[in-house]
Amino acid sequence: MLGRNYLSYNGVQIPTPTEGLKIAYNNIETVNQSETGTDLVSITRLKKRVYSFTLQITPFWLERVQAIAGQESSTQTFDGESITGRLRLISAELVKDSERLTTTNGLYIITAEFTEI
Amino acid sequence: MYNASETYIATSKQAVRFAQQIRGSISKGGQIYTFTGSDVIKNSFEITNQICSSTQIELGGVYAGQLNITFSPAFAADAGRGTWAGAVVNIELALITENGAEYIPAPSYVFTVDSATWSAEGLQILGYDNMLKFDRSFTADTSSGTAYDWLTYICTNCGVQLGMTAEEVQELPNGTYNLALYSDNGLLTFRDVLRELATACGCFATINRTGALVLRQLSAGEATDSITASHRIAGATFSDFETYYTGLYITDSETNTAEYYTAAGVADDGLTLSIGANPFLQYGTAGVKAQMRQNVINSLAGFRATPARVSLLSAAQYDLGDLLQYPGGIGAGAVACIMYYSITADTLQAEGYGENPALATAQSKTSKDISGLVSATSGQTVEYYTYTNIRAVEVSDGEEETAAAFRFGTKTDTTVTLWHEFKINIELEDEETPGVVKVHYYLNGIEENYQPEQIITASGVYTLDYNYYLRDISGGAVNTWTATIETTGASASVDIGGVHVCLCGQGLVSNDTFLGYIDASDDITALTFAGINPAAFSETLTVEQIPDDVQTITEERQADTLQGIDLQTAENAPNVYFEYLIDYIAFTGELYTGEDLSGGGYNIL
Repeated sequence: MLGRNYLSYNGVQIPTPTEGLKIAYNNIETVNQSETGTDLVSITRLKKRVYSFTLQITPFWLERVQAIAGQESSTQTFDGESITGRLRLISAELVKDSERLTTTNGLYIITAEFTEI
Repeated sequence: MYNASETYIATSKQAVRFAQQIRGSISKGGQIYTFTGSDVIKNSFEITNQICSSTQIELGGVYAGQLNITFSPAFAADAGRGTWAGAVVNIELALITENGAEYIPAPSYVFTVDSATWSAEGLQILGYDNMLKFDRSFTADTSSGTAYDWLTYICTNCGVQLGMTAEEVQELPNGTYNLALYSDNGLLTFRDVLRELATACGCFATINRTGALVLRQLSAGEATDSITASHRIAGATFSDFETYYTGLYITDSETNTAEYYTAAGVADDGLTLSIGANPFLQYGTAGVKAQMRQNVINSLAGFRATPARVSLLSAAQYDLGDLLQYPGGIGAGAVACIMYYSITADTLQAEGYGENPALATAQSKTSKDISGLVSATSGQTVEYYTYTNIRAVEVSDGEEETAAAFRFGTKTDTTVTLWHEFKINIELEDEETPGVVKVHYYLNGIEENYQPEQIITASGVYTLDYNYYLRDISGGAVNTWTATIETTGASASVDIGGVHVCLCGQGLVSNDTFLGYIDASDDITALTFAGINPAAFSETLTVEQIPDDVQTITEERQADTLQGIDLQTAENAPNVYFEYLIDYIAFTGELYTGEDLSGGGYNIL
């Protein structure tokens, strides 16, 4: 998938993540122990996904990603699947000396998370 | 236990399964708003209900089921602000089968919103079931009818459906009897009436899953389901005794005394249930009244349950009054009754209560005596005991003699105050040397760590006043209070009526009744019958066992009097029989002369 944009939010394809995409699966369970030591599990939800990634992007893209992350919820399309969740920016770091790139006015490395609701 | 599907029950017992799925609807302002678990804030959902307080079993429970739930802000906004009080919430709990495909509901719940609170987290709803609809003013009129008639009347007036057929009601204890109610019944609301009616039928009242009123008996016999150790969440507790009832107290309004009934066909070794002056069990012929009251305790005779507190994964098929068996582990096969439950999406907590009959029995003789005598006495009422000596008290120098001794019963834990007054004649051994009079107090034979004393400098009559208090006296017990006088360097005497003690406090049993103790004395020193001069006298008193059906002994005669004996007859006949009568307790003695009438001895056998 590298070399092409494969992640989009609200129909906006964003640049390719620089370090790939990490998907965490959270299982929401209440685990009790029985009198005999076995588990008694009440499952509320399985495989709640959190997508995390980093992008090296120009201020132009930073602004667009910020706009999506500022919304209450958004629709992520990844690998042909559309899911609703919350895109949130975790951090944005200006690459050293990149401010000298007058054409782009710098480069940013941003970290973002998209949490399935 | 509700008739949930076998699939639901089987799924509810899986060790790993999905939490209860919540869904339902709210009827508000003519609109229906449906919701699912996605609209409910996690851990905000809970339904609780109970049939009695957490201390002991009671009949006639009219507790309301309670719902707590918080809806998400989005759902609450859709439903709108408006007035939420009075909105009807239908809630269905369901389980997903193992493959996640099937959605199996348990019988649903119905609640009416009592209050709603808006917060940043959402809309917090507090709802109650239809039991609160019975909190309507009841206009007391003389009326009578069967239990079904009464239930129909109550439900019709309060707008609640009756969830029982006439046949089902007739099968309850006293279900076929004519239950009369007169205007002086003290019932203020229909809920009060329902409580007394349920009690008269040996039941508790609750609202079923459809929102209808039902009366249920405490189950007797086999458990309806079994929860193994591997299905119980660690932390369950079980008592080491079974709780059961074999006795019933009911206050008879006519005589204002508590009458005691025992369950037929079983030993009276269980707990005693007190149902007060139930107005539905007060009218009719003596035989009918007795039978109706007997029916109440008979209905409880088969009920045995171990107090327990158990949590398991959420299961909505269980309900109040269910008997569940807990084999294995610390449950060790105990059978417990659900008297309280709390159900959430994840867990069900079931609790059963009760007292230990063994411990209760140890106190029961006292408690039965006390409660039988003081049913009309409130624990808030200040009661007084007074004591006056009927015998002169003589105290020699250096001796200690009892000046006052009496018993008092306590209904509840309490503090009592004692006032003592001794009108005492003191003779100093040496008028030049002061003497000392000291008073000792004993509670149940144990001396209190306080002895007031008075230095006496001259012989004469003194009036000594001492007050004292007893803190933290245990309730449900009979205590003995003794005050003694000790003299040093003096002798003292108190005439009859010279000792006055007043004890007062709340939670005491009235002192004008018999508490179950008899003090017998044989201090007869001389008899001067006509022509007879006995040299010795002895007696043996035989106290017959108090019959079970005797609760009050109202007459007491001093055992050292020989009233009613015709002395001439005693002189002329070798044997005289007489009785000391204390109501139902008979002291029987035989008086006969010795061989030498002029100087021989007398014996009372």
